[in-house]
Amino acid sequence: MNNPPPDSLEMNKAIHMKYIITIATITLLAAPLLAADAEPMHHWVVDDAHFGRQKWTAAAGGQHAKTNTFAKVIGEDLLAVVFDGGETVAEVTDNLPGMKLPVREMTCEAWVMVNEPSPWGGFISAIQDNGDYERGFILGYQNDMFLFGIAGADKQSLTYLSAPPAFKKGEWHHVAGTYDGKVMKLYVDGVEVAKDETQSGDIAYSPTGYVQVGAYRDDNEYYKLNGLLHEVAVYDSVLSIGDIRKHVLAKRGKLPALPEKIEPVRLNVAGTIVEFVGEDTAQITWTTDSPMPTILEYGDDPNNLTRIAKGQKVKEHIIDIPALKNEREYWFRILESTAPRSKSTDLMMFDTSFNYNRPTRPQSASPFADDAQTKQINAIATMLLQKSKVDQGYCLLIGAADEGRMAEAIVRNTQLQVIMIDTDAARVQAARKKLDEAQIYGTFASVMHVDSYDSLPFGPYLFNMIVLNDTLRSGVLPSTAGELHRVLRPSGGVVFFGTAEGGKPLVEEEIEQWTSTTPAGEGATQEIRDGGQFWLYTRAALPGSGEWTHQYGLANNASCSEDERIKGELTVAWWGKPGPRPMADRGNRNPAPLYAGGRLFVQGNRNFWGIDAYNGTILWSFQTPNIRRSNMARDLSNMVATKDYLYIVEGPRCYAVNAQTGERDKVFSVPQLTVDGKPMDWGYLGVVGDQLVATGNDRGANYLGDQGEWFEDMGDGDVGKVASRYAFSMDRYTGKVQWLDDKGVKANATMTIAGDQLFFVEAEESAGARVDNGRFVGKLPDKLTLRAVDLSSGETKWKKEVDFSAYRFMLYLSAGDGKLVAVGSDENKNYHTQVFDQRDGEACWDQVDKDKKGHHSGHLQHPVIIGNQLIMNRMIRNVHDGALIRDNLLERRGCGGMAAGANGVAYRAHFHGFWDLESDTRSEFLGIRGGCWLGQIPAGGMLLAPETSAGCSCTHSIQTSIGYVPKADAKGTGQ
Amino acid sequence: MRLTTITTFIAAAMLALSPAIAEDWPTYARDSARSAVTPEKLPAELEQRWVYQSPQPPHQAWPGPAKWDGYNKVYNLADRMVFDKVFQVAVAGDRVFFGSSVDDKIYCKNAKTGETIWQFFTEGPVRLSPTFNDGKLYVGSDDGFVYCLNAQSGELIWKHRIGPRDHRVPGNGRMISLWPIRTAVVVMDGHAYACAGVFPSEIVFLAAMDARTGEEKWKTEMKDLPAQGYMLGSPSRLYVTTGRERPIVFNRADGKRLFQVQGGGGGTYALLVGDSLLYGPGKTGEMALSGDGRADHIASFAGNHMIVNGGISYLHDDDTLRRLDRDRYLALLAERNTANAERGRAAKELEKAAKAQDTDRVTELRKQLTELSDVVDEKSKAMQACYTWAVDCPQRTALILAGETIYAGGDGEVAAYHAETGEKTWQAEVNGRVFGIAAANGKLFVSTDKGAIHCFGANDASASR
Repeated sequence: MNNPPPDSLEMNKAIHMKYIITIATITLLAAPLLAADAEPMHHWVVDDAHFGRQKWTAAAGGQHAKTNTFAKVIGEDLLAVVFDGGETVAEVTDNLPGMKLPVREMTCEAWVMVNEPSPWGGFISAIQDNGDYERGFILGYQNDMFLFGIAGADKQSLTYLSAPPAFKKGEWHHVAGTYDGKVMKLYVDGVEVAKDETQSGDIAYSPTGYVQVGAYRDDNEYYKLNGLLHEVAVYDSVLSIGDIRKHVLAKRGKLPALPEKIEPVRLNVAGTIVEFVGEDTAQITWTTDSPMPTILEYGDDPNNLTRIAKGQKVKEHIIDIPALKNEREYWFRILESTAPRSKSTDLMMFDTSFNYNRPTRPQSASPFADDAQTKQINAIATMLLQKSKVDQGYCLLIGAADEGRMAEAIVRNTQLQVIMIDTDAARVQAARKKLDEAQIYGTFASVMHVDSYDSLPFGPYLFNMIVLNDTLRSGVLPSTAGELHRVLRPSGGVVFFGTAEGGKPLVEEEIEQWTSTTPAGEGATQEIRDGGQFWLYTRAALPGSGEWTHQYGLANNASCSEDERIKGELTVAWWGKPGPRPMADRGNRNPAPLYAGGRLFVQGNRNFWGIDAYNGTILWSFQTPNIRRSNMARDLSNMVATKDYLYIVEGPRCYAVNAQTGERDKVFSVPQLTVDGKPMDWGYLGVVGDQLVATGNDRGANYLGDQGEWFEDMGDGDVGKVASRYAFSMDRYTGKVQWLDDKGVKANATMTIAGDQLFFVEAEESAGARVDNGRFVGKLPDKLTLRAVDLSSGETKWKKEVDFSAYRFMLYLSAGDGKLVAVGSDENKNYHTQVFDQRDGEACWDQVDKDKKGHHSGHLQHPVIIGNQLIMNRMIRNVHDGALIRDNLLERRGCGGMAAGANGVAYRAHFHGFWDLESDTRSEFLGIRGGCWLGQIPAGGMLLAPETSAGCSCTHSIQTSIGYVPKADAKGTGQ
Repeated sequence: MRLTTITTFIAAAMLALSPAIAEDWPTYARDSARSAVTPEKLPAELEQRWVYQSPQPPHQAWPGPAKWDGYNKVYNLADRMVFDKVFQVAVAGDRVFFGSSVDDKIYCKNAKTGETIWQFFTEGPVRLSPTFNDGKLYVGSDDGFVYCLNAQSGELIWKHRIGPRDHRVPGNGRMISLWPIRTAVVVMDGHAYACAGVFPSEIVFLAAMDARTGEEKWKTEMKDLPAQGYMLGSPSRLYVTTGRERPIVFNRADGKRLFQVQGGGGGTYALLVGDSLLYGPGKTGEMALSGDGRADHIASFAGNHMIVNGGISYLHDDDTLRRLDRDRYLALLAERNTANAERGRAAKELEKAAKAQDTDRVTELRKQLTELSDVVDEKSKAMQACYTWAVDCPQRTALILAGETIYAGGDGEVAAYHAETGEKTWQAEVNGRVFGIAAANGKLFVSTDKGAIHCFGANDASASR
């Protein structure tokens, strides 16, 4: 982090480099007779015995190198691995001091062919050259000359011994460097070409760093070989020229020719998804562009994979992996064919810890006689499940007079967990014994004794289904439906009641009176006649509840769900999975969870979940080895939610994931797969009505956050703003493209929808904007365009030139109360705010404020807009005129962001916290911390907080996903 | 009163039937100090007598830890919530007791045969071991109640809810109390102690109850930390483990909070030596030692478990079991700390003297610093010599000391090591990873994360099945 920028490094290196030219006076013919061969300390050679998929077994020294599954090997007699200058790597260790390396005397040698010279390159490197800190050794090249570098203990700086004349591209060479504690020598093809005596003493190594084959790599530079490599060896002795010459002669002329094209043999497949379809079985699906057999290798040891295959050639592949062990990481790769050296995907991973299937129901015999009562109850259960379509979550059975028959029927036919209650202790015990005998007691079904059905000991909203079990025969309704309504899940929870044939019938008036004890307009009753007379009462969505469908709340990026219910003091409604293990590290500024239609959608580290927002039941989950996004301050999320679908993007594809089942019902593609020859991925994603509004950005532009990045500091690696080449609208059911706009390069983080308009900030590269690898880098030009587009037609409604050049750390755009709010912070962490009218872009007001906290996201806060209040930087301003309403907001601790409902703001203090606007008080939920972005969302009448603290060094006592509910809504009739 | 008398008599009779030299294992890790040490000497050769296999593996309260700390690049983070991975047993006479997080029951089984003698339904998962005391069995459940049962018959003597009301919500997939009992029950001097609650925002409670009646004697509120993991008790204090956090210490007489221990990385594994607390496993597997009755952190030891037996300790990390002359080690540590403190003081003085250009003083202080550095080096070397043996021990997940034998549990196996020499003397296969071992009355009980309890006994023909 403290190293000088790359330009100065190059200069520094150039200053230190010593070009020492020695005329080669020793010819091959004059070489002395060979002594016995020295044994290498480390030796890596490409042959069938040593070079494997992802593991390059050392021929000597025991230090194996990690390489790619898809690395390409060529040749017949002697083999070589193709280094493509990009993806192909061979890392020996990332712990340089942990590897045994020559102390003083040393030789390193390699058989190589450089195809494309580069400023620096390595055949083997164990080096640090960072400004004035120079350690280790390297054998490699600079531009088109081979070099050998050593840092001796006496000088503590590197001497690079270089070898003019230039090597010829595309030809094999044997390169060797020796050092005896005093003298460095460089040999090319058995000829000594350079010599130097600057260095002395033991070799000085860095206490950190890499040892890498086929690359020059230190802490801040990484140059990869473009060419072929056959062999690398390191000795802890000085080889004589005779030894070296012998090695040259042994293989000269026998190595494979340069292939027509240097490329890895990576097999590209789409949509790789892992789901668990049983307690020990995973199902993997993927798509290929052309039909091919389904071939997959997997195992918990990446070096010992088992192959499974289906011969039929298809494009849509599906294969089951059975007999998996619990809580294990499994590695897998997909192959094109069974031929040796077939094309392969990179190695991917899934983890059986994340199998959320409920345990398989025991197949034990039923403890109940196969009599008329049992048959009748089974028939009612079948009908009930068919009519209600509820089969996951929690089921409450009122009354245990049937000794557990209904409970057993429901358990054996659904994924529901049954809680049976009764006021009679003897009947409770009898039902427990029967269900225990059926081997389903506990995890699948349990029986509780309660004092009364009028005051249930349960929190609100919990049960997906309630069955008036005793009523089926007695015809007697509990005294109030209001208490059942309280514990019934909103947005589709059902109460089933009625009487079976032979039971005492219910009368309409009685039912009307009974259901009138539920809140008016919050549910509806439907009659069913099937083997008796039955009714289903279905609870509607909570009135006043809001949704959180996009990264920052709704498509307007206001970080506000407009939920009116979440307020006052909160209490725990549920907690559970996912826990920290499958989640991304807490610091990566990860995508926010979403909520729509009673479901919570969560994205982990290449995992997705659909969760019942009211009781935490995991409805579905899958693992996606290739879907990940981070650094939300410079991009927007890769998922959006609706009541029926969760839309997720992967590369150029967008999946419409069924919100209830997790099935991928539809797949859409970006409308332009390339722009100027560059492949395009799906960038921004928004949804309004039946429209998907989206953008296409350069492949590789979106951040992954796989290295534990925090994205907190200034520097293009942190603050480069992801940019899209075009925006478009698509029918979210058919995929039909409705319009496409490619007029400028658009900042993803500014894509904002309000009313019937899409707003964004865009730039022309010709106007001075620097776009590298799909990101705006450096300072933004002083003339950017703020543009409004008609959502239905894509036509420009208005545009305006705006100076956002001070917005160095980030550039956000949000909409609220008729205004557009642009927020960013400069290199000194001052917040800049500019507000425009949504109708015509007219500037309303602007403001510059010193940040109130310049670290832990204090300078990166995304604003919140609630009504006419703009909340940011611990201040509230009137969004219409900028008038300061408050500047003494409660201190926010840690690195999380804010998320609001209509009456309060969820934020991270030390722990999860909620600030109630009316009372101006805050609640803290001690022991549980959120992550470094937006992880608590007020929606559905709840505050939903999936686990986001994964990896935290702290001792926060609890790591869990959790749902909170207002205490006012949690109270039962008897509480 | 009559019931109590009869119960006591039956318990006494039951115990009287036990072998004369036999030792019970009345609770998790055998005692309130959670020492995991028993004088019980088991036969050198053991063979499996019976196995209990739960239809499902234990349903844990919390999912596992993150895979890494990405920001700090720390891998293999330890699981600090290790209290309910298996069904931990208590053993009294010829009966073995355990609770189940799968079917919510408390089991009493015949230790010789594995047959069920009685079972008792609670209304939530039972995650921690029962405690046997004076013919009674004390156990906490996620339903929010502490139960006191007649150990002979399984009949309920009393039950007591510590939390403020009966309020059930889904907790990691089960419908449980918002104030579950997750500390087990410590029974000492006629009192039963337990905590209720997970979320400090809902208030967590520590309560003392009359062990005979369940009558609440005092109750202390905790508003900053949860109570999770086996509680520990010393003659004057209670030690409450707090999930991923550091334990808190209370006065046993009145529940007054004394302090939270300092140092270490948190966790629910803990044991007491007097009033010195060892706990872990912290972030990556280390045991922190706090002062004798004080909050301050004295030392940390790499490892997942420790056994302390007199002046000797056994340290257990992922790969190795080591014997440590602990008394000498701690004495040397104190001496080294003193030398280090003196060195620090001398270094500061040297800085001042150098600034003042007091060359004589500089010379003197440099000499002192050299001497003190030599002392530190010497003490460090001597501390290393306190490890009298170390052996490879791949059984990394559980450790107890029974007589002169250390039993270690690992993935699919349990092994015995001679405490004096470290020599491995016995090994057997089990179903799953071992997180619980108990030795009592001639038998070894091994609990695994697959829901198995294996009972091993003497392999002579006379052993009854």
